[in-house]
Amino acid sequence: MHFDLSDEQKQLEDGVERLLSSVVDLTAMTKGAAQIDLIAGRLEPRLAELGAASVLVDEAQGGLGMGLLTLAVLAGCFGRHAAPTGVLDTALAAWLVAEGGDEALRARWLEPLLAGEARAVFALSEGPDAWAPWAWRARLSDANARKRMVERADGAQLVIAGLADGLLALDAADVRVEAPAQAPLDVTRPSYDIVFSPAAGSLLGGALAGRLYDALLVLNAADTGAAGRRTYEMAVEYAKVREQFGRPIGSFQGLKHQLANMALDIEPAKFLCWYAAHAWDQIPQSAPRAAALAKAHAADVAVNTARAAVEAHGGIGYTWDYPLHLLLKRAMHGRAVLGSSVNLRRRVAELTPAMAAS
Amino acid sequence: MDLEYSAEHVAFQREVEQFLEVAWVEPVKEKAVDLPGFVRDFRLAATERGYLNRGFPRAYGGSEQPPDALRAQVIRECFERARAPMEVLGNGVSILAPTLLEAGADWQKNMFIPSTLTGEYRWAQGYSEPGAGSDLGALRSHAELVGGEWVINAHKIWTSFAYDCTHMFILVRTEPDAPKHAGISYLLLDLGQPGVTIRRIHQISGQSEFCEVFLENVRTPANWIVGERGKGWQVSRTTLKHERNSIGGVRTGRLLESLVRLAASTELNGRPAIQDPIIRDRIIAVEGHVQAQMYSGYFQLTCEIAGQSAGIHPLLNKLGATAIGREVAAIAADIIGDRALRMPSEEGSGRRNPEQWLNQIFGSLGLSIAGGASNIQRNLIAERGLGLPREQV
Repeated sequence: MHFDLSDEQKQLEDGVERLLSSVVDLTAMTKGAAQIDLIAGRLEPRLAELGAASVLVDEAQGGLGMGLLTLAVLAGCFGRHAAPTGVLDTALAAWLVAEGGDEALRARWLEPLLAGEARAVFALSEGPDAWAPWAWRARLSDANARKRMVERADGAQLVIAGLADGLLALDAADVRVEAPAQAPLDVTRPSYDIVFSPAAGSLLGGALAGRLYDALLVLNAADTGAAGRRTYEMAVEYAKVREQFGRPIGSFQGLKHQLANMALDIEPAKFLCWYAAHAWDQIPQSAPRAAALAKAHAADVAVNTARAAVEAHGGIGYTWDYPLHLLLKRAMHGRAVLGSSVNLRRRVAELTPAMAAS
Repeated sequence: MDLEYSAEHVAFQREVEQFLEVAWVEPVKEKAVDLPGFVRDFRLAATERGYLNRGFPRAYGGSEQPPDALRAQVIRECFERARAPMEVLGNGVSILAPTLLEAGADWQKNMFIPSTLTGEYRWAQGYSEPGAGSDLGALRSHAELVGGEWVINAHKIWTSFAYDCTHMFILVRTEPDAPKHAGISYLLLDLGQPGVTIRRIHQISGQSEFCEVFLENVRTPANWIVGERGKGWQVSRTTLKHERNSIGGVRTGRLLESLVRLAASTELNGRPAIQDPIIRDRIIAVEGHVQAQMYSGYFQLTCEIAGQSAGIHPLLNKLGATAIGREVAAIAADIIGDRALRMPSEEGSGRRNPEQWLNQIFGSLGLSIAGGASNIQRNLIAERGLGLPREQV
């Protein structure tokens, strides 16, 4: 019985945390896409050095075999810093190729993905809140398929699309990426619509769509929850230094109680994410329910916490130049993708034996 | 991350289960046992085996086990599954006995701890007063030494189950000239004497567990003081530490299971409430909080085993349980609807009838006040957990 990260995981967390603290300048990221691209460009080789993309793949296939919990630890670091990186998608894609790809696919993609030289993205949603495998309608036999809200599709090398027939691996050269007319909500994670001919890709074997969806939920929960947690830490620090009426505002009980309520929501949420990741690694029969519950919960408390953090900051928190909004939007983005909280809770209820329809 | 027990703990678990099977499950199933005497003997046997009263020396009726949070957890789980009683409930075992162990004189430990662990001595907590609730330092009850005895005059309130207690531990002002907290002493007294008046308080739930206790010239020996004169405040702090020692999450998990059973067995709009999409959504939403807290409890246990601090997390347990209790009460109220217009019947204390949920609905409100009101909890979280400055009064 040991409900904590391993020493190895803690060391990795420390290392990534140090890296992000030095490279990801939140304030610089408020200045626009060029600054964000610069930071993303600096981050990419450093994360490749750390082997971030190879965490989930078995050692026998050239990966680190450290499990989803380790990836969730990284996701937490990324959420905390609103880091502009898609390396976790690449890590999941490497795992998919290793587990479900045929020989040709593995030969083509596995090494570049593991090394962080090729970047992969997931194309899932076909309509509002239609992210889950059971909502995928596009078929291999369709002449053309369209997917929406594909995160960081621009510049990716491998696209993995969800079809009713299973997961399809596509060379990005065979995919048309459409830039949206509007700016993204979360400037660190722009998304695009894509159009492709399914025949151009190759199907992955192994019925991995459900496992992939659960893993995405878990990583999203860890990322989103951590973004919310950072806003609360910023609000606590601000309350210690900002003075009004001749004293730190953090000495006023009204604000103290708001911050205590934020602590109550956001502090334990991390443990639910840990459990969901652990379940995906070790207790697969519990994983779908745990993943959906963790995502719905973490996303809701993260957004509530981030909103409360803006409120606790006062006017400065509502300005573009102050970087709090990047984390608020990280949380809002996280909440909006992969299934709304209401739909995820509906799924959890359906997976609860005591709630099964009579 | 490992949620399984080690081979050593699995073996220990089997040992506890076997003991419980023979000493509790079978006898209770076989015949209607003479419960009070049987429970007492069972507790003695369980203590002898090292399962109960683990932190107390054998000399005082404990089982004197080395601290082992994981074994303690195994024991809790096994006893709960077997529905076997653990330590005697009440302030005596949970508060007074640990306080004596830390701050009492040897003769006091000898005289009071063994009888407290068996439940022979049952203790009322004499802290709060009408004018001293959250601000305990404002208490006005007092005692003075007259001819080798303390003569106590006090008005205490919110003393749970005082009518069933034999003794009281009490905070009184003994140094009238000392400033607020420095003039308070921690005394023990026998409640079975003239001058003691216990009035039961009629609660909004209809029950009367709390009491008001009036002490008029009540006497207690000069040496029935725990710690030094004027140090009662510090002595009572040891007590509060013990009071907050429980691991969160277990009870709220049970509460949620009861709520699901209520929703499955109660009709709403012509079908079981559990089929109503809004009720389902709200139950799962509260489950998110319940599970987050439960795994926080696992984390706290892991820290305890490793002898490390769990940081802010233990400070959140009580407020978290209160928040969950409040939300469960709100969902239950929507499920039982107008059945809540009739108070629960006295008999049948379980929650078989929907209206029995009024007990939870009121009880969850009580929880927000008892043992440190929610706003006091928020101050503790903000000041001790987040390091925010104290409010300047």
